[in-house]
This record gives sequence, structure tokens and C-alpha cells, in this order.
Amino acid sequence: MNQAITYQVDSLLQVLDFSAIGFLLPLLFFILFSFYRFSERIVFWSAIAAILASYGSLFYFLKPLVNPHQYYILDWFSIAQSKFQITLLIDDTCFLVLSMIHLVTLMVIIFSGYYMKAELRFEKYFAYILFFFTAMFGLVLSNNLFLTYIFWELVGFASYALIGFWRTKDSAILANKKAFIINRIGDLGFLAAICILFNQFQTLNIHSIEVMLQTSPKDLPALYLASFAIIIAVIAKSAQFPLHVWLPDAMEGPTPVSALIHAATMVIAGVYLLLRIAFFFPPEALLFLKYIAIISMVMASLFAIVQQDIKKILAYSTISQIGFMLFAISIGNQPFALFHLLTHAFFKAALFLTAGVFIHENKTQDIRNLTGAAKQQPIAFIAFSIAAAALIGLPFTAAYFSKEAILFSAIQQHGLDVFNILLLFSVLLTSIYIARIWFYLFAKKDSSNIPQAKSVAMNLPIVVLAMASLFAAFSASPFYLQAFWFTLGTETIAPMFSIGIILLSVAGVLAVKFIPAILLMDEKNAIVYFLKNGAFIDRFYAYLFVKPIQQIAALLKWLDKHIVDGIVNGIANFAIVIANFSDWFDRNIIDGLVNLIALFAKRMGDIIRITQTGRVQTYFLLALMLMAIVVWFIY
Amino acid sequence: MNNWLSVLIFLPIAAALILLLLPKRASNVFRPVTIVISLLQTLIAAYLYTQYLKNPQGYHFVERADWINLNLGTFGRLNIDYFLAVDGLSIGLLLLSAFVMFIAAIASNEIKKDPKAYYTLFLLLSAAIMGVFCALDFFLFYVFYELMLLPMYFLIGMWGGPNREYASIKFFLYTLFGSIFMLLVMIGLYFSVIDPVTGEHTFNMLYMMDAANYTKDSYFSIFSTDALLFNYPVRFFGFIVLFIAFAIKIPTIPLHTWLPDAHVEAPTPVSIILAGVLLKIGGYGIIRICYGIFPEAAIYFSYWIGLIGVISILYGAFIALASTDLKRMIAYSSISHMGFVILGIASLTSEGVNGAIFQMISHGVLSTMLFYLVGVLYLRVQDREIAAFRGLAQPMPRYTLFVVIAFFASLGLPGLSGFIGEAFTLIGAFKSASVNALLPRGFAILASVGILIGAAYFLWTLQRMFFGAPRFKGAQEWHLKLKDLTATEYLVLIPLALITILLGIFPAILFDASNNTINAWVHETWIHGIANLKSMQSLLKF
Repeated sequence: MNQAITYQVDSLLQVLDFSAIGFLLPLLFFILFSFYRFSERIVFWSAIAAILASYGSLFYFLKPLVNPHQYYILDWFSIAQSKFQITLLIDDTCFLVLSMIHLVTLMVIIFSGYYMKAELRFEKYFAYILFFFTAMFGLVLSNNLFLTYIFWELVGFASYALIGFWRTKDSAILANKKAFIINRIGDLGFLAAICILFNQFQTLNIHSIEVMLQTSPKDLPALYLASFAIIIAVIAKSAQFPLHVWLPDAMEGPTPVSALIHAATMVIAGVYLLLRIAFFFPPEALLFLKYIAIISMVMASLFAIVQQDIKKILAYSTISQIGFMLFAISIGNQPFALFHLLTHAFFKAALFLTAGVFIHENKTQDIRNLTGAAKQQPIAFIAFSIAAAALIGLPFTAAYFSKEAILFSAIQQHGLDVFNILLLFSVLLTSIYIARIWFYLFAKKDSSNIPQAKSVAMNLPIVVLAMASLFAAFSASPFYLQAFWFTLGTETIAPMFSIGIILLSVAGVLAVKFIPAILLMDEKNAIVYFLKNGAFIDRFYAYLFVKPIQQIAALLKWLDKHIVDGIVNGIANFAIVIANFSDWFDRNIIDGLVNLIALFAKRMGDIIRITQTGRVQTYFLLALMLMAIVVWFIY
Repeated sequence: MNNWLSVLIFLPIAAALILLLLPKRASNVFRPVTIVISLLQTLIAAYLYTQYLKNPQGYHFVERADWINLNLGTFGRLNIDYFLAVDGLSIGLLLLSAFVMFIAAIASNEIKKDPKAYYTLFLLLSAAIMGVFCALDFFLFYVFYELMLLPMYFLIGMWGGPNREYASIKFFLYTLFGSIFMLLVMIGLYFSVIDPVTGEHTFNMLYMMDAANYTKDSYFSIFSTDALLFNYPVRFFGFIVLFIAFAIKIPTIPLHTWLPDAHVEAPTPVSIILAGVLLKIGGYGIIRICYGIFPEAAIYFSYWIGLIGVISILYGAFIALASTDLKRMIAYSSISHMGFVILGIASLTSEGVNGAIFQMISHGVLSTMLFYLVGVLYLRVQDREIAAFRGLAQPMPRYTLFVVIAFFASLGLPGLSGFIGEAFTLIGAFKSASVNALLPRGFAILASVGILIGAAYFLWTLQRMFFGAPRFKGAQEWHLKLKDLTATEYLVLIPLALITILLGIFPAILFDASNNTINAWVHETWIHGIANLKSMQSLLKF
């Protein structure tokens, strides 16, 4: 890390050559397509041109910068005494992941030309894809957690927009809301980690934190908390247990989107983030990660074997495979976690796109109705078979290296402990669920032939991705890893071990072939029913969180209206009552008293008036009486 | 020219006088004049902002003159200054206010009743708002503060919805309740503070912020030995009273119930002013006046202030989730978002307070956009019930685009302005525990739950109203009425959306102006607060 070259740049102009083409061009098209309606042809070709240009600039401008790796730092804004910087790290990892993203995006865009043809809002679809591409690009390059967080959420937003692309479809708009909200839970974890790390280090540059940790104790409580918070973020974004529930629902989006975002790129963001910052994770956090990974793997493969919906099977497969990558990280095998990330991206994208062909041509996602593919869509069927072999980890595929290496290092480190037994169990399950699809596709179709579409846009991407799933994409030799265009750690696999794993997988395939119950997965079986509904985790969340939150909200609304505002109105009414009382008091008591005095004066006057007769005789008589009284008193 | 601030304040007053002289039948002149005047104000404020950025510290554009000088016999002399200046705290808010008034003037095209009275009041309100942010003499501040109340009362009460009288009286009484007590404290402060230059009592806020200017045995003096009320220093009560006055404005729980009613009844432009500008005066007042004059009470009560912020965030968010009226939902989301401002201020960290100011400005822009968007819908079908709409994206795709931008900015999507404000208030609140131990870490975590619920109610509303197959309460008739945006509406919405994006990507635009001022402010509030608290605790033994 120390020999890295750091450039403090005044503006991004200094890395403009590749960022302008790689980053800004797709962004420009995104803006154009979101506001204007262009013809399908223009949109399609300019999207391809943008990604191709970006791809070219990646090799032309970025590749030479990779060795030694370097940092580009640009001041962004400052607050208090801390500077927030846009920090980019350009190294091997970033180059590998970016080239994978470019290839998959390009293939998905080409495929979308076939899959989304004549779709309303065609240009919006491409706009969102390009936006996603840009955000993912930034996420991979960023070496500052604040910046990473921004792109982390932006890819989530792109995913929201694309899952809900068919916005009049109720299931789709429920699914994208769910995906975003569940990802929000993870985002809060990320935000918490940002708060903790910023508080501790006064910077969010990953590289700076790394440098600081070289001279300071590593067992800081902040690092414990931050690593657990990060793992929460990873769980949500990479759809791991217990926040995996959004991914199967996300399959409501267009299939190419599932291939790009929900299989190859966005969902692996969690793995990528860990590759970047797991260096400060304490052993406890890694153990926690290991638990999460193994539960996700076994759980998702169990859910996958009972599904009848091809996309759901693949979605659960993705959860399981990402669990596998996280497992590799948790046992410290970072290089092969990265390698599996790459191989998985290709074969899973191939699986999804071929599934897209079957779905598009048969107008159904139920594997029981997808029979006859071997005959009707032979190219897609062969591509699917290659990708399935890669998923299983058979020789001659690239995933053979990544999968065996991770399994081997796990067993080498810990022998056959509970984790590793579960790990092998999920390997078996993996071959079962993918073999189920394969046997259905391979089976003969009863009904007559449906006319099949043939187009380059359909076949080219699946062929390219299937080829990328083969060993030759990564290694010169099919049996031992002889990398020729990138460097990984060295991991040797014992041949006997490898044969054992292959036999295990083949056993799974044969089980599907010879045990009809597995192929059928009858829902009347209680266990199948339980697994098919995702162990009712969704319903559990609905009762535990969603309902109570709605009830609290309704209760608070009632309180606000009747109690809080009630008090205010009560005070106002009280004032009115007081005012009315004062009014009454004023009218009747105060004014009454005044009137009383007046009345008294009047009555007195009336009485006195009696004496005022005006007759001299009366006055004289009264005067005499008065004098008599006076005289009587004196004596 | 050095009296730009006076120009900013008196330009609308002059325009209002001219409008008053015009005959009523010249009704098509009033709105253009108001738009031009508020555009001028925005340009002046923008110019001042760029000037301020050249040397972003201290007070700029200072204007000072004797205003009222009365001999009160045995009470001495009454000295009130015309004292205006802006610093990093107020300059951003000043620009925001001018801009929001400009947008509100454009958005006033729906006002048909008695335009002469409407625009005169509008301009009067504009002058008062500018004055509030510029005044550094407490009395002058108070005058402007009260001056806002009158036009606002009539704007809601005369041009509002069916229940407008109730709403406007509620608004008026709530605010008046706060400001009457503010008046008491202001007078108390006047008789406690001495101008160190002339030796006379003064309303100058800057003098009020310095403990040395208080006469020794006065009620609000730090060095008083008997200024206790119910066994607590009188200064604490002064702080609480001022805090309540501004907390009503923000508003915080439980002093918030005027807001939803006022918003629901107010016409769109008045809602825009209310949410875009008036709420910010609460936050501004707390930072400038409550914390500035009574720093020790601020520190003493910071836990409770932070708690009020957190409760406002959660409470507002929950009720927004349960709201069935779109405008009421946005009103409660305002309460939730302004809770972040309180939390950020209470943290007394530079991150938190800078974040709070950013959040105020961002919310000013976003709430303007949100209330305007509600107005667009209401104008077409006179309905705001969430349940009355479904699949609005179909007939109104452009409108939906702006709704999506406004909603996602409000729920804190990075790249848009709402995120920066929320993130930094949270970072500040979290940091507080290790810097000054004022707020527990749990506050930041609880507040972040508010962000989660924020996502829930905004997305739920999007899903219910805008997506899905179109189905409206008014059936076919509404299909015809629900036309997409008009040119005027684009004119309002495009700048707002651009500003949101701009602030989200380049937060330095605001932080560069506020950072120095706030760093100094946090430092001084902390130093003075702790010193005052120590001296008061030793003298008063509370």
C-alpha cells in the first residue's frame, strides 16, 4: 500500500481523459434520454456507443495507471476543520471489476435491444441503465466512504427505477418500494459507520484510515462498531439473510435488469466494499460475517430447489453465491472472493439472459412450461448449459477455479467443522436447483412448435457471456489457474479434493435425474410449501414491523388530532368560556351592581319624594315633629 | 454603495406603496410588478452572497443609525438603533428567502380575488422577512418579526381554503403567544445590558451576547447573586421563553399543531412562503438569539433540546406516514425535517450547526417544490386526497418526474440537497458525545430511524398515487383535467430542481459561506456558555 502514488489534483481535469469518456458520456446520454424522446434506433446505438467508448477508455487510459496503484484526490468541500475529498483509487481490483461491469453492461444493453423492443418508454429504460452504469462506475472508483455512500444509494435508486420500470404493474411497484426501503435499513448501517469512523479519524478516505491504523492500536471500540455497521449495509445491498427478502421480489423488473443489477453488478457492491475496507475488521466481525454468509447460502439454496419460477431460482442462487463470496472474505481469502465475484458475474448474467430468451419466447416463467428449449432455442440452451456448469463449478469453466479455491482454503483452514459441512451441503444443493431447470429445458415439448425469434441482439450477448464463463477467459490452462491478464494470490488446489467436489456436484445432478420428487417439488408437501414461501420470513416481517409501524403511525395521528391539538383547542375553548363568563359577569354582576346602586338611588329618591309634597302645612307639621323629638332627646 | 440591506428591505415597501396608489382595475399589473421586485431582491441577495464569499467571516454590509431616542424620565433614555448586518449564518437564509419569495410571486397566478390587497400584503411580508434576517438590534428584529404576522394572517385568512378563518386565527394566536413573552425578555434584557461605549441601555444583540455588558445586579446578569426564580436562574427562564417563541415558528413538538392547519388552508404561494421561509426564522432565531444571548442555558438544556429535535423527527415522520391528505403529509414531513435542524443545533458541533443551516436552506427549496407540486394537482381537480389518485404517472409523466425528484431529495437521496443536511446534522449529533458530551449517541441513531420512515412515506405515496394502472376518483372527467405541466409550472419547477441537484453535488456553495461563522460561533457559544455556567453555579448555587 505504501508504494502507491498519490496525486493531489486541483480538478478532475487531470483524470479527465478517462473520466470524461468513461463517466460523463453515459451520464450525458442519461440526461438526454430522460427528458427527450428519441427513436429506438438512436437510443439503442448511442447507449452502445457510450459503453463502448467507456470500455475503450478503460483499457486505453486507465489500464496503464493500474501498476503501481494510485490515488487521485480532489478537495470537495470542508466543514469545521475537516476536508471532504473526492478520492479515487485506481488499482488492479478496480480495473478487473470495471472491465467486468463494462462487458456485462454492454451485453445487457445489446440484449435489451431484443428484449425490450417496441416497449413504451424504451428510451427511459436505457436512460436508467446508463444512470446505473455511471453510479456503479463511481462506486468502484471511490476510495472515500462518503463518496462511496453516495454512489451506494444511487445504484439503489437506479435499481428502484428499473425494478419498477413497468410502472402500471402492481407487483413491480410494490417490489421496488420494498427493495428501496430494505436497502435503506442497510444504508442506515452505512451512515452509522460513516459517523463512527469520521468521529474517530476525522477523515473518510479509506486510504488515510489505513495509514492511520498502521501507527495506532487496532482494537479500537469504534472499529468494532463500524465493522458491524458496515456488515449491516452489506447484508442489505447484497441481499443476505435476514434482509434478503427484496431480491426475489425484485425479479418483477425486466429480465435484462435482473441480469445486470440483481445478479452481476449492484448486489456484489457489498462484497466489493468489504474487499476495500475489511482490513480493519476484528475477528468477531468476520465471524459474524461468516454466520451471515453460511446461513444465507444454505437458506437460499434450499429456497431455490423448490421454486417453479426460473427467475426466482436464479435470484435465490445469487443470494447463495454472494454468501459464498462473503464466506471467502470471512476466512481471509480476499483474492478469490474477488475472482468468484468476476466469474459469478459472467455465468449468472448468462443464466439470466438465457432465461430471458426462454421467458420471452414462451411467455412464462414457470420452468414446468419451459420444456423443449434444447430444440427450439439451441444456442440459448447451450449457453445456459455452459453457465450452469460454471455455477456448479465443473472443470473447463472459470468458476471451477474460483469455487474450488475458496472451498479448498476453507477446508484447509478449519477441516470439516460445522461451517464447512454446511458449505459442502450448499454446494450439493446448488447442483440440484440448477439441474432441475436444466432437465426441464432439456425435456421434450408436447405441443407444436412456436415460431422462434432469431436475432443477433438476442444471441450475441448470451454467446459472449457463456464464453466469458469458460476457463479461457481467465486462465491458459483448464486444470490449474494460469492467469495471464491479471494477478491474484496463489492458491493451489489438490487434484483429489477437486475430484471430490466434482463428484458431490454430479451426485446432485444425478439425484434430480433419478428422483422424480425433486424435479416435481409438489407444493402439497409441507416442507416444500414452507420453503417455497421463503420460510414465511416476509409475513413475519409484516407482522413484526410493518403492521406495528402503521399502527403506531395511526395512533400518533389520533393523539395529534385529539390530544395535542385537543389541548390547544381546549385552551382556546377555555378562553372562550372565560370570556363568556366575564361577559355574563360584566353584564349581570358588575353592571348589575351599577344598576343596583342606581336603583337604590331611585328608590331612595322615590321615598324622599313622598316628603316633597310642596304643601306648607305638611312641612310645618314635620318641623314641629322634628323639634318635639329633639326636645324629647335633650331631656 | 453600502446600504444594500436597506435597499433589500425597503424596495418591496416602496413597491407596495406604488401598488396602493394604482386603481383596482389595473389588476394585471400587480403580479408582474411583484415578480420584478422579488427578482430584483433575489439578484441583490445573490450579489451580496458572492460579495460575502470573497471574505467569508464576520459581519458584512453593516448599517447603523440612531432610530428612536426617547427620554423616559426616571427610566433613563430609550435607545433603539437601526442596526443591520449579515454574516455566514444569515446570508444564505437571506438569499433563500428572496428566492422563495420570487418563486411564490410566480406561483401566485392562481390568486384571482382582490389582487391589489394580495400583492400589497405580499410585498409587505417580503420586507419584513428581509428585515428579520438582517436586524441585529433586538427591538428592530422584534418589529420585523411582528410585522410578518399581520400580512401572513390576512394572506391565510382571506385567500385560504374553506376553514381559513380557524387556521389563520390559530396561526396568529400561536405566534403571538410566543412573541408576547419574547417582548418581556427583550425588555428585561434592555434594562440589563449597557452599551460599553455610551454607558446607556441598549437593544444591540451583539452587546447582549457579551457577559461583560450586563450591569451587575440586573436580572439577566451572569454575576447577579439573587436572580433566581423558583430556584433557577432567571436567565434560564429567559432562554426558555425565547426558545418557545422560536420553537413555535419552526415548529417543534408539541407546539406544531398550527402548521398542518395553516398549510392545508393556505393558498399555494402562501404555503410556499410559510414552509420555505417562515419556518427558517425559528431555526435562525434559536441560533442567533437563544444560543447567542444565553449560551449557558443552551448548554444546560441541550439534552432536552436534542430530545425535542429527535421526537419531532420521529413524530412528524410517523404522522406523515398515516396522513391521507397529500398537503398534510408534506406539512408533517416538514416538521420531521425541521427536527434535524433542532438536533444539529443542539449538538453544538460545527458539523451539526453547519448541517442545520444547510438543512434549512435545502428544506426551503424542497418544501417550496413540494407545496408547489401539491398546488399543481389541486389547481386541476380541487382534490388532494392520496386515495383519490392512482397511476398519475400515466397522464402526467413530466409532473411525476418532478415529484420523484422532490420526494427523493426530501427522503435524503445522495446527490440531492436533502442528504447533505441530514447527514451532517447526524454526524454532528453523533460527534457531540465525544466532543462536548451534550447529546447521547442514541439520539443520532433514533433520528436516523426518521430517515427510514421518511423513505417509507414518500415511497408509499409514490406507489399509491403515481404508479399502478390509472384510476381517479373523478373518473373520466379527471382524465381530461389532469393535463401535464404548463409553461409557468416548468418555469417554477426547473430552477428548483436544478438548485436541489446543484446543492447536492456541490455543498461547498453553502458551506463556504457558513463554515467560518459557524466555527467561531460554536467555539464562542461553548467557551462563554461554560464560563457563564460556572460563574452562575458558584454565585447562585442552583
